[in-house]
Amino acid sequence: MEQNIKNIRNFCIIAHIDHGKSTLADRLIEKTGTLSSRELTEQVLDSMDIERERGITIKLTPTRMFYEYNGEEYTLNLIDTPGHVDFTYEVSRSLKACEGAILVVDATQGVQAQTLANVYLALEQDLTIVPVINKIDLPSARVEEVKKEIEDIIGLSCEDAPLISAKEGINIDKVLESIVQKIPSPKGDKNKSLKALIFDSYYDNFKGAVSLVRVFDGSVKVGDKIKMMKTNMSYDVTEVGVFCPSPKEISVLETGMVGYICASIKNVSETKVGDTITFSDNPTEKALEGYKDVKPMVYCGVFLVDGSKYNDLKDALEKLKLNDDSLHFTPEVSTALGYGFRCGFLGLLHLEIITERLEREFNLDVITTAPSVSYRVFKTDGSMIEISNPSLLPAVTEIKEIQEPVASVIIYTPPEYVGNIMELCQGKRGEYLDMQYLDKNRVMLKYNIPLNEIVYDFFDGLKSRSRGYASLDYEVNKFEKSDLVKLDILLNGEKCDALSIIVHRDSAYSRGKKLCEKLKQVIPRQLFELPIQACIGGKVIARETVKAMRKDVLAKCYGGDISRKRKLLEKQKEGKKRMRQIGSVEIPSEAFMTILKLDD
Amino acid sequence: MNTLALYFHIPFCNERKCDYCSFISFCNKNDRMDEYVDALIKEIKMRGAKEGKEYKISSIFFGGGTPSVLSDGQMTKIMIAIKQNFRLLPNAEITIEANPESITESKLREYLLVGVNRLSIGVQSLNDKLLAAIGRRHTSKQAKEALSLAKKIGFKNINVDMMIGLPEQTLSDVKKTVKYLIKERVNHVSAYSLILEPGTVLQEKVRVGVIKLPSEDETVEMYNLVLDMLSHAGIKRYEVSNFAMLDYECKHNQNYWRLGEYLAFGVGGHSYMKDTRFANTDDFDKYLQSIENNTLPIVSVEKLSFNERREETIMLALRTREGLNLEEFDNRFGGHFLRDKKKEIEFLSNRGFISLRNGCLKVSENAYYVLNSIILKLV
Repeated sequence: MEQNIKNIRNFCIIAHIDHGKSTLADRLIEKTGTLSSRELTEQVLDSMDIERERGITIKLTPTRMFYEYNGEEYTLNLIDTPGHVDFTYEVSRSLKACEGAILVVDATQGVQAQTLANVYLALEQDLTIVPVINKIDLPSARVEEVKKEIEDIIGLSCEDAPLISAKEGINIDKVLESIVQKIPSPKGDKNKSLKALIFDSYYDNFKGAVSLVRVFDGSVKVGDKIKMMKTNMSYDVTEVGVFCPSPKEISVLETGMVGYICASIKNVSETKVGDTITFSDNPTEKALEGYKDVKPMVYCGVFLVDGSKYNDLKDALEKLKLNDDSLHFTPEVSTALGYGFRCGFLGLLHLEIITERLEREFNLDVITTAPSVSYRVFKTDGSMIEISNPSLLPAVTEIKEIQEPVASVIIYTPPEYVGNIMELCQGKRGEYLDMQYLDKNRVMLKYNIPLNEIVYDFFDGLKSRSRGYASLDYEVNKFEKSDLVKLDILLNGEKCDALSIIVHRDSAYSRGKKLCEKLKQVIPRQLFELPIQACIGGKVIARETVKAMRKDVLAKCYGGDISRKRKLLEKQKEGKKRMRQIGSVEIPSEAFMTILKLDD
Repeated sequence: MNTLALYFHIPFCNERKCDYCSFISFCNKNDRMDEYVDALIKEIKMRGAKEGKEYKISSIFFGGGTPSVLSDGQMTKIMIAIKQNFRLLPNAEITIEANPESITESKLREYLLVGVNRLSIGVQSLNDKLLAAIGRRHTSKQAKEALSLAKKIGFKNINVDMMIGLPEQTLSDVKKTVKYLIKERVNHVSAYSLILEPGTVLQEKVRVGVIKLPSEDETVEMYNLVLDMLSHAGIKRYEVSNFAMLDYECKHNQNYWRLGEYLAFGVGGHSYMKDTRFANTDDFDKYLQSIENNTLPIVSVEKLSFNERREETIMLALRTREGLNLEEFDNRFGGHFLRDKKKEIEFLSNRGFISLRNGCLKVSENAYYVLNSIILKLV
C-alpha cells in the first residue's frame, strides 16, 4: 500500500504513573477499529502478566492505527512508553521515533514529578506536545485548576486540550483529531538511502532478533542487504512489517513509517537500540544520533533457595537479557548463599520485576540480597575500583577514599507534607537545593540525595510521609566522596557475607541495630544460644540474642504415632533444605529477604 | 518363632472426653459395647487364623478411650478369645488402662483373674483444680483410692500417667503429685507434657484465651523436677516420657521403639508387620460393618521403604535410654553411621547433647527436650 507521508502521525503518550496512559491507548485502538472491543483485553499493550497485574507498562510496544479525518485516511503510529522512573530511558527511546507526544494529566491529581520529567524529555527531542486532561468523569476532578497548572508549570496552552475520560470513552475522538491536526507529519526523503533508527528490539524464537524501527529516509523490503552502522555487520532482510498491534508482514517499510525488520539475526546484542540501519551498498552518510548507554543503578545478589539449580538461573537470566539489555549480571559466590549472580538493574522496580519474572516464568525460588549501588573505591595504591557487592570492599587500610553516586531528586507534594518530606530527606543525607510553591496545591522540592539512601527505603518513606500524595523523579548526576563503612553481620561469631551492607557512618548504628532486631525475629531458635552482632571492622556496634531452643520433643510416640511422627520429621527435613547454613547456624532463606524491608 | 505385640482399642468413655484428648473415643455409644466386643472377638479369630500360628505373643495392651468402662465380664470374653487364637509367651505382659472413676473392685479382680498383670491408671495430677481445668471427671481423692485399691487387690505392676505443663500448673503441684507416687511405690510413671492437639476443646480454650499454658521454660523445669525426684527414688527414665523401677519397663511400648512387630484390633488400630504399617478404619459403624462382612477393616497400608525404616529406627531408638546401637544399625542399613554423620555427631556431642557409650549413641538426660532438633540433624 502506497503511503502518503503527509498522512502519517508518529506519536507517543507520556504521563505520570497511574494517570491513565494505558487506558487511553486502549481506547484509541478501539476507536480506530484496530481491534474490536471484544479482541481488546484490558490494556492490550501491556503484554506481560506482571505489567497487567501491576497496572504498569515496562516494555514499549508500537501499534499502527488508521483514522479517517475530513475524508482522508491517516496512519497513526502509537509508541507506548513506560511510566515509571526506573524506565525513563525507555521513554526517551520512544520519543526519538516520534514527532509528537500526548501528555496525559489526571484531572484529580494534576502535574506530578514524572509528568514534568517526561515533558522535559519530549521537549529535548523537539516534539509537539498535546496536553489531554483525563479522568474528568471523577467527582474530584479539578479540570480548570489542572489546566492552569499545566499552563503555569509547564507553559503549555490548554485552551483546546481535549477533556476526556479514557475509562468511560468520553471525547476520544477529540484526542484523535488533535493528533492529526497538531502533530506534524514525518519529514524525510524517500529517495535517499535507507536510514532507520532501532528504538527497541526483542528476540523471537522463529525470526531471531527483531528490530523495532522508525524509518527516517528511504525504504526497506525483503531481500535488501542492510548494515548496522555501529556494529558494521550486514544482513539480508527476511521480513518487514508493522504492529497492529500484533506483528503483521507488509511488503515495504517506507519513509516516516514505524515497523519491524527481521534479518535472521541470532542475538539481540547485534540489534543495538539506538543504532542506525542503512543499506550495505550505498549507505547513508551519517548515522542518527543514538541513545546514551544505560548503566545499572541498583545491584543485588540473586541466589537460589535450591542451590543445585544454578544453571537454570543462568539460563533464565540469559533469556531475560535477550529482551532486556538493561539487565546486567555476573557470577558471584557467597559463603552463605552459594553460587549466584550479582545483577544490575535500572532501579528498585526493575529489580522487583526481574525477580518476580524469575519466580513466575522460570519457576525459580530466588533469594536476593540487600540492594546496593555502585561505589568508586580509590585505593591507597592509586588504583580505583567500582564495587557493587559490599563483601568485596577492600580492607579499611587499603582505602583512601570512597565515592558514592548522588542523585538530583525532584519531589512534588501538596504543601501540608513539606515538613515531613524535608525531614525524610534530611535523614537520608539529602542536600537541600530549592523549594518552589508552584500553586496553592503543589510544592516542588529539589534535593541532592545519595542513591544509596534512595534504594534503601526512600520510596516507602515518601509514600507514608505524604499519604501517597508526593511524587518523585531522580537522576544520578555525580559521584561524591563520602564517609562510608561496611556493616557486617556476625552470626554466632561468623560473618555472613550475604548480609553485609555499605552504609554511611552516621546511620551505621541505627541500621545495625535494626538489622539485628529483624534477624532475631526471623531466625528460629537453635540448639544453642545464638548471638547476632552487627560490626564495623572488628567493632561490635549492636547485638541481639536468639535464645536456645528449650523444648520440641513429642511426649508420646506409640504404635499409632510413629508413622505420623516420621512424616512430620520428613517434612521438617524438607524444610531444612530451604535453610542456609552459616557455620553451625541455620537460617531460613526467607530471612535474607525480610531484612530487605527494614521499616522505620 | 517371632514375637508379636497385640493392641486392643476400646473406644468408649463415660460422659465426655477429656478436653485435651484427640484419640478416637465415643461417649455416646456405651450401649453398643456388647456389639463392639463381639466384633473384636471376631477380628481376633480372623487374625488368629493366620498370625496366631506365625507368632508368639510377648505383650498385650488394652488402650482407649477408657478400657475400664467395659462392663463386668467383657474383658473375660476378650481374653478368652485371645488365648484361644494366639499363643502367649509365659511371661507376656498384659496391660489395661483405667481411669480412677471407672475402677471397681470387681473389675480389678476380673482383670487379674483373666491374666492382666499390669495396670495403668490415669491420675494426671493430684490437684483437683487442674483436673477440672482439663476436663477430667475424677478427683484426686478418687485417684488415690483407685491406686490403693489396685495394690490391695494384688496388682504388682502399676503405672501412673501424669501430666505436666497444664494450665495454671505450678512446680509445687508437680512436686506434690510425684511425692505421692513415690510414697505409694508405684513401679512406673509416664509423665507427659500437655500437647494441644488440633480440634480439641483445650486447644480452642487456649486459642480464645480462656486459659493460659505455662511457658516452654516452665514446662522444662517441671520435667526436670519429675526427673530428679523419680530418679532419686530409683524410678529411672528409660524413654522421653517414661520412668520405671528396674525390670518394670513397659515391654509393650519398648517393642514400638525397637521397631518390633505389633498387631492392633478395633477402631483406629495401627499395626506394623513385615515392614508394613496399616490401620483400621476410624469409623465405628464401618468397623462393625466390615467385621460383619468377614473383611478386615483396614483402610490404609504403607509399606516402609528402606530409608523410611532407617529414619524410624533412628527416630525411635534415640527416644530411649538404650539409644541407637551403631553396630546393629550399620549391619542392618549398611554404611558407617559414625563416619557418615561425623560432622553432626561432633556438633551434638561437643555441646553435650549426645554421647557415645558402649557402642550406642544416646541422648543426654537434659537434651531430651530438644530431641526433635537432634533427630533432625541425624536422619
